[in-house]
Amino acid sequence: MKTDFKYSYNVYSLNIYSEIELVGFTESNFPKETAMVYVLRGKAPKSLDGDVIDTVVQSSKNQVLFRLPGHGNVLIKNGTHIIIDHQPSIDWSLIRNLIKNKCIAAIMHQRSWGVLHGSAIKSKDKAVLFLGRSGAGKSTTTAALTARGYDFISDDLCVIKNQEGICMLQPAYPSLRLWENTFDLLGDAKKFTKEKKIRPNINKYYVKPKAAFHNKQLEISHIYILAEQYTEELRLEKVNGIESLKALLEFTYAKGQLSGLGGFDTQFKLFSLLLKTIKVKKVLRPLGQDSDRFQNLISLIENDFLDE
Amino acid sequence: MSETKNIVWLASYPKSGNTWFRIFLTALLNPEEAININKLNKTYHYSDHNLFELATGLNASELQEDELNSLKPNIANYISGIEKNTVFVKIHEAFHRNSEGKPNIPFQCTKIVLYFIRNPLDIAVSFAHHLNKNVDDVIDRMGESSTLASLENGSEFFNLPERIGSWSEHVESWLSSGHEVIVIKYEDMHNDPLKNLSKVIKALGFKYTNSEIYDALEKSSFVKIKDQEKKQNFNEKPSDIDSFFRKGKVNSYKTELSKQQINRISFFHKDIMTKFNY
Repeated sequence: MKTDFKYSYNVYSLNIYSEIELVGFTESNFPKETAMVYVLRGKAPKSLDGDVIDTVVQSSKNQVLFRLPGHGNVLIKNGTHIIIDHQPSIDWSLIRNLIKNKCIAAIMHQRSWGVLHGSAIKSKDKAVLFLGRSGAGKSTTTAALTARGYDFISDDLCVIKNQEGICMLQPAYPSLRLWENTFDLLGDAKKFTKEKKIRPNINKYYVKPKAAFHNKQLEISHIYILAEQYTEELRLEKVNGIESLKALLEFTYAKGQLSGLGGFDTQFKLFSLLLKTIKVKKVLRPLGQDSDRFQNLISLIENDFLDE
Repeated sequence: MSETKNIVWLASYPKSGNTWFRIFLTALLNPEEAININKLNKTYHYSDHNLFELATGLNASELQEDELNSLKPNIANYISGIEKNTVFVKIHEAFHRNSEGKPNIPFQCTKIVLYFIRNPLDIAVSFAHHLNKNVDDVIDRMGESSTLASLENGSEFFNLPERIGSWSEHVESWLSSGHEVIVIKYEDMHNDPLKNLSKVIKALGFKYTNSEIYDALEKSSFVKIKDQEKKQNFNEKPSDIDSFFRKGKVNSYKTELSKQQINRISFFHKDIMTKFNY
């Protein structure tokens, strides 16, 4: 194993050695023997065994392969290695984003950790999660709450690990990704540092909240689902029993990878355990947002998790 | 590669009756259920970014337009693979090929294309309302070949960008695509829906009786869906307009467009309008 990695990070409680820079990840100097994940250039297969369809992502037991025409292939295996087999025309901004979300998610799936599509803040020493599909408003909601003083924990991926019978959310890194046209909704712009675009031609930015970043694992107290179901009135609705389990499985991050990895059982058990101790609510809202309406939504959620 | 040719494409320029047809189809395929305009079962939307993410495993919001275009056929392969029977997919894009020469909708999973066409004079009125823009701008847009949708209609986060092109290019692109295409005129669906939609349903190989088609038409009548939108909103409506379903009329341009506006549209799109008796 090569050991002269130029970069070392700690995210989601994983010590990562990397040959390429992963901007935004928290840098960390850890003893070599504690490295858990390696990101490196190398050879990846053209296809995984058993695959018959010409797809971008393939998975088999302990392996996930991304095949990106014009860029190259990225193999994630055994919960430890992310191997980039790139073509000369590779766009590294594309690959960096892929590593930071989909590849890391594959590592988590391979390690039997839970991964939800969501963002999180800290309240009363516990984690409050916001789940939803892409574009539902998870990052914007999280950013708005950090502007109100809540510590930031995670954006886009919520990684959950079973620690002796308790589901603990793992801290990500102190960076959010926001569309340019959501900044107006957030209130005080001074509470964020807008950094560079996630990719040159996309109006989505890395954003650093001024609020503190909570870098320790935490128990979870609440989960809010930002529903794509629009109502006349803004309101919260409890999600009970099997429906809440279905919802968590629905918002499993990169769940397409699980069919090959065979990880549905793990997620099922982990989320069943999580649901013994937390409350799940759906956020129902009218279509269309302006700053006032959005801040009302944030207040409704904030009052709810503070009340209970 | 999937060999199953099971996708029926519902292709159209925006505001040409595509959504209404999907509602009718949902009523027909689910006769026991009440129509819910926010749950149009059994039809997919080709610009749904969540579908793209399921199909490719990638985040659509991190990809540039050329990358999205080159990967879009994965959506069709994905749908074709997970659905065993005939499946309907709505598309507003013009038919085109990406930089590698691959068609935006693959031949190997396509059963047939239903192409919905509407008088561009009426489209201009309806589209201006939909985009919340003035009619003159929309007439320009309908004449421009580089038109992209979705980035301008208030639903950037929920739709992938679609290459639409001008109205004339759109019609021509599908008719010369090489796919088998059935053209359905909005005006025919409006004037005699039972007769015209029965023909389409039979051409697709479905064995529904006229009475079943009639019942589905009743359930999906414009008045009923407009009323439902009023009560519960419509998820596909751009956020900055009051209603998606507006009048659903034919020839409303006669009272809503100026002579000059009519002349501009007729000038831009003369050949195709003549071909379809508009």
